[in-house]
This record gives sequence, C-alpha cells and structure tokens, in this order.
Amino acid sequence: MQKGSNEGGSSSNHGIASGGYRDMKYIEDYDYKFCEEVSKYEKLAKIGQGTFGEVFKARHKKTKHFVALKKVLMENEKEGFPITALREIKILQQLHHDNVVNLIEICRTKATQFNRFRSTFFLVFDFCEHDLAGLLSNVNVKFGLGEIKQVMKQLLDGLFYIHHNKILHRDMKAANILITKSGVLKLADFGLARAISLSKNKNVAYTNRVVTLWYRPPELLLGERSYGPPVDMWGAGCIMAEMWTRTPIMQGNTEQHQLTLICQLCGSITPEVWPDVEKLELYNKMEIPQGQKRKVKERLKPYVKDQKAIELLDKLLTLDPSKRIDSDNALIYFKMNISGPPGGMGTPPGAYGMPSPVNRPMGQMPNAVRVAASNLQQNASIDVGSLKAAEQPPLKFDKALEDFYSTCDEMELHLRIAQASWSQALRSQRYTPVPVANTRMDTNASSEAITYQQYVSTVKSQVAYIQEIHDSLMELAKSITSE
Amino acid sequence: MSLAYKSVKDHFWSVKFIFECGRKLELKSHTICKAAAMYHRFFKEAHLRDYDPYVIAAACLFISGKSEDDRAQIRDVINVTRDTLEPGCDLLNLGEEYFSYRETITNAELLVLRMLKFDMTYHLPHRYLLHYLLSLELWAKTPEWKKDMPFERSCWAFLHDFHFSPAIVTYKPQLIAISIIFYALQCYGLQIPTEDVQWYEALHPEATVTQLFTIMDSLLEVYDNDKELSQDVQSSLQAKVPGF
Repeated sequence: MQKGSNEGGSSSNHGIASGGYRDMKYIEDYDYKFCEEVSKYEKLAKIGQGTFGEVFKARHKKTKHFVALKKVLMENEKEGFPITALREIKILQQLHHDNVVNLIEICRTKATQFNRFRSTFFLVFDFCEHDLAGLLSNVNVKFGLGEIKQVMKQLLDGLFYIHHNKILHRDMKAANILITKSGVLKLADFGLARAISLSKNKNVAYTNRVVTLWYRPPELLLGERSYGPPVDMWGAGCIMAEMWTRTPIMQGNTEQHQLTLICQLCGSITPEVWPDVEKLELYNKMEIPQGQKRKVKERLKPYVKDQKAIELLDKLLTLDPSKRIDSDNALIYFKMNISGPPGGMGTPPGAYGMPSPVNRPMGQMPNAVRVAASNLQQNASIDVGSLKAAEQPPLKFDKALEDFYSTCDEMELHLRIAQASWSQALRSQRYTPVPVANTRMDTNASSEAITYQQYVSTVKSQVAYIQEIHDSLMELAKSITSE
Repeated sequence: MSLAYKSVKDHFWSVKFIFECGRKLELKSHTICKAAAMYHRFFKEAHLRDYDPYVIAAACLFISGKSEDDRAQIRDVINVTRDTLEPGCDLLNLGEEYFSYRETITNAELLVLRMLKFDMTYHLPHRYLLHYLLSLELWAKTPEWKKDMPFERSCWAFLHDFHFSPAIVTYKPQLIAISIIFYALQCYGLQIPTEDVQWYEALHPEATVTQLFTIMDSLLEVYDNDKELSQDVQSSLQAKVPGF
C-alpha cells in the first residue's frame, strides 16, 4: 500500500491515494459508469430528516417519475462511508416486497475541487405521498375501521416479510410508515435495521440503544442485548393503538419515565408475568412500579370499539417478549378474526379498504360502479344520437363521461388491491389452519370466525367479480369512444 | 514470504494479502472471503495497471468488515496492512502520515463502492457448499467419506483456495460449490451412488460435466500459479539476499 505523498515507488500511485489535489484531477473527470449522477433528478423540496441525513422530494428530469432522495451525511465520518448507510443499502437490496420501501439506486454528486473531491451520495427511493404520523396528526383525515384494518394488515405483512428474512427494523414508529397515494403501505427508514441470527445462541450482543423512546419495548429499556423480532412487534402494537388515539400512547421523557408508563398500561413487570426478567442487566437498576394492574383493554376501550382489535392490541403489547405475538400469528389472527369478510358480495370487507386520506364509504364500490356505468349507458344511448345531430356534445354527456372515467380509475385501484390480497392469500397458504377447530381464536364467536379456505374463496370470487365489471366497463368505454 | 508483497503486482498476491491481513484482524472467514470476492469484482471492471492493488485490497477488507457486521476499525486496518507490507515498522501515531493513510483508504472505499454500484448482495458459494454436503450425506446414507477421510474439510479448503482466482465471481456460486465437491470426490476416489440422475444434475440444472470441468480448471490454475509465483519469489530472493 502506497501512501499518497509517497514518491512513486514500485507500485503505481494514483489519485485514490490521498494527498495533493493534483492527483485528484482524474477523479473530477472520471465517469463512474456504475453510479449515476444525482443531477438527473430535479430537487423539488426538502421533506424530512432521516436517521443519517436529509430527505428531498425530487423528480427524474426525463421520465418525470417522483422519487425521494436521502442524503448520506459524510461529515465527521472518521470511519469512512457510514456503516448505518451501508447497512441500510445492503438490507434494502435484499428486500423486495410491496410493503417495504423500494430502493431504486444510489446516486452521487460530481466530485469537484469545491467539495474537496468528495462526492455526496444519495439513496434514491420511490416517492410515497404520505407518512402515517402526518396522516394521524391531520384532523381532516378520518380513519375508519376498514382503513385501520388495511393499514395494520399491510404493516404485519411487511414485518412478517422482513422478519422472515432475518432483518430487524429497530425503528418502528408512525413517522417511518409511509403510505402511497394509492393506499399501499411501505416500511421505511432502515437506518437502524440490522440482520440477526435466529439461532438460540444467546451470545449475540446487539446495541440496546435503538428504537425511538416512545415505541421502545420493555426488554430494551431493561438492557436486553440478545433481542429479536418482538422488538418490532411492540412498535407495531403502539402504532396500532395510535391509529385510534391519534397520538403516541406512551410519551416518556426519559427511559425511566417510559418504563413507568409501560407498567401503568401493561401492569407491573414481575418474574411471574415475565420469567427470567430478573436476569436482565438493568432490572435492579431501574425503578419498576409495583402493584400495577394490567389495563390495556380498559384504557383502549374508549377509543377502540372493535373487540377483536383490542384483543390483538393486548397480544402485541405483551411485556414478556417471548410471549408477545409474532407477525406470523398476528396475521393468522387477523385472517381468522379481523379481516374476514363479514358479508357476501356487495359489502366488501376491510380487505378492500384503502387507507385513503378521506374516509370513503366502504362496501359501496361495486354498486357505485354499476350506477355510474348504467348512468353512462343511458346517457350515451340518448346522447350519442344528439351528438351526431349537433356538433357540440351536450354537457350532460360530458359530465357522465368524466364521472365514468374517474370511477374507472378508482375501480382499477380496487382491482389492484383485491388482486394483491388474492396473491397474498395464495402465497400464504401455510396459514391454512389444520385442524380448523383448534386455531379458532375465540370459540364463543365461532360463527364469525371463518376458515382460511372460506377467506380465500371469498377473495377469489371478489377478484373475479371486480375483474368482470372492469372488463365490461372497458368494453363499454371502447364502444363509446369508437362511436 | 511477506517481504515479497511490495515487489509483485498480481491478483494472486493481493488475495494472499487479503487473507493474511484478515486473519491478523481476526475477521471471520466469510468476511475475508467476501473481501476477496469484492476485490475480484472490482478488477473485473478496472485494470490492474491503473490501481494499487494493496490499497484496493485494504479497502475491500474494510468494506466487507462493515457490511458483514464483523467490524474492523480503520486504524487497525491501516496498522495491519502497513505492517504486512513492511514488516517491523512502528505503529502509526495520530499524525499527518496516519491521516494520509486514512484518507487513502476512505477514498478507495468510495471508489470500490461506486464501481460495484453499491451492490453488496453477492452470495458466497459457502452456503451452497454446506447445503449440498448435507444433502449428499443424506443421499449417500452412510457415505464412505464419513469413515476416516477429511473429505468435507478438503472441500472447504478447496473453496477457500478458489478465492485466489478471479473465476470465483464469474461463475454461479451454486456451480462453484458443486465443482468443488466434484473435484474432492475425484481426489479421494469416491463415488456417489447413482440411479437414474447424476447427483450434480439433481442439485442444479445447469451443472453439466463440461461446465464442472471448466470451473475445476480454474481451480487447478490457482495451484499452478502458486507454484510459479513461489518459485519466482524464491529466485528473486536468492538473487538479492546472498546465502538465501
């Protein structure tokens, strides 16, 4: 290895060897064919602050595609390219899922003498219009039960996927849950995420100074260093409750305060409810309120009207991480008890629901389409005649056409969502409850509990149904435009 | 042998350097192998004459340590690589020379990352080798190699040595793993019982005998290289050091 200022020596001494800027000239001219320049995007606005840098909204100059640029902060980095950024890149390159934010590429700025020949790097993501924290703090945005269910289902799907790939997110919070304008949820900000070993080997020691305080699970507050996926599930529970309360449920100022708030909600932490908790490093150092009763259900009842949802919240906010429900079982619970379609056709269940910014009346979609279509048909049949007679198409027809197209757009969206849940159902065949009777979560409500097969067949027929309407509408649209 | 590093500019020696430094840094084996693969991936795109291979090698070790969470501090990397190149030199103080080295490594790090398009999803053949060995053990029920042959250990050793060849990143890791087993079987004169389908075809559809032989050739080249290079070095040492 040659030092930059070294006098040549036997090995070549090129610009990458540090030292005088004269050596660096070639860096300025070098075109890294594998790492494109960020100037192909046009920066529009700063939209936030990530774990390791600023985030901008930008648009591709040619394709007009919107992206989010996340700047990698390089100042004060003694250890070269930040390991957090390297981890995030590596993890995101491995993850490809509808509910995980998509990393498009890494871009750089041109290295010039003005930035000391140090490029700035940007992570380029697909742009998402909303984040959950923003939506929850906006009083004009209403979340109905259908939307909450849809958000939670996608959140659990995403968590199941990343945990299945042995990745911990470690920064679950509403601000890191993005939602696109078409209602698809994306887990974002993997700046604190890391790969984990799922073996029972207890020698691993991860840092416990992760997760935003308000969403930090009790085991981390007590100093656990060989934690696992349950840390994300606690966060999911906090987020789920927040969907109703609209504000983080436990807002501690210090780690001690946070632990106190947790005990006040979930009951005192004792070796009875959580075996081996006394072995945790900080168990004797932190002050643990005694004699507190668990009142998760009571406290959330005023907000959450749905009994099944409260049951799930209770399972997510379990103190002992080994007893906390995992994403797999939470999804099963969801399919068995929550997202199952309560009625037949015409009343689509939460599976159809979109977490759209406005509270959309669920269950009227196919009817709305029918009405729009028949309106259009009537208008078309009447007005096509007069269209031929008069040069100007009458206003009424225009309006109907407009309505029709907007309904079509909306329906395509519903179709996509329905198809997504259908493929989800197909993919997750391993949830098939065998035998059915044993996996029913609530035996009293067995009439409401549906089997997996029922669920699948319902989703399947719903997809077919929407597809049918969609096709006929498209045909209709074609015949109208050709006229 | 370590005297020789600075006098040669060859991929074989760079990889040797990576393995030597990696061991001294107490990195895990797969971290070092990833660094070697990263080094080869870099020089698939770049030319040896344009870069100092030892700077790139050090940067690869540094990146690999970070991305595998098997972390080596930059200061350790600098001290170890420097000492390996010039044995017996003093530890660096935090002075101008140290900062110059640090900037060299961090610049090279960014260069390598950009050349690799930040793609760190490369899979080592290790996982496939492990998986295939376990499968073959089941296939052969009580395999002969379980008796008293270091068959499995040889496989791992061959795989390790294969990292000296740029071919490690040209072929699919699955095929490399199969070739290694294929070669080791031949070395020990072992056979996998076959009914209608050959074991390698069963493991991977692209594993044809021709393909396996091509990869084995690359592996054997490594051993040829090793012989040649050590002879070269020996003769050059004999010329320089009287009485060697």
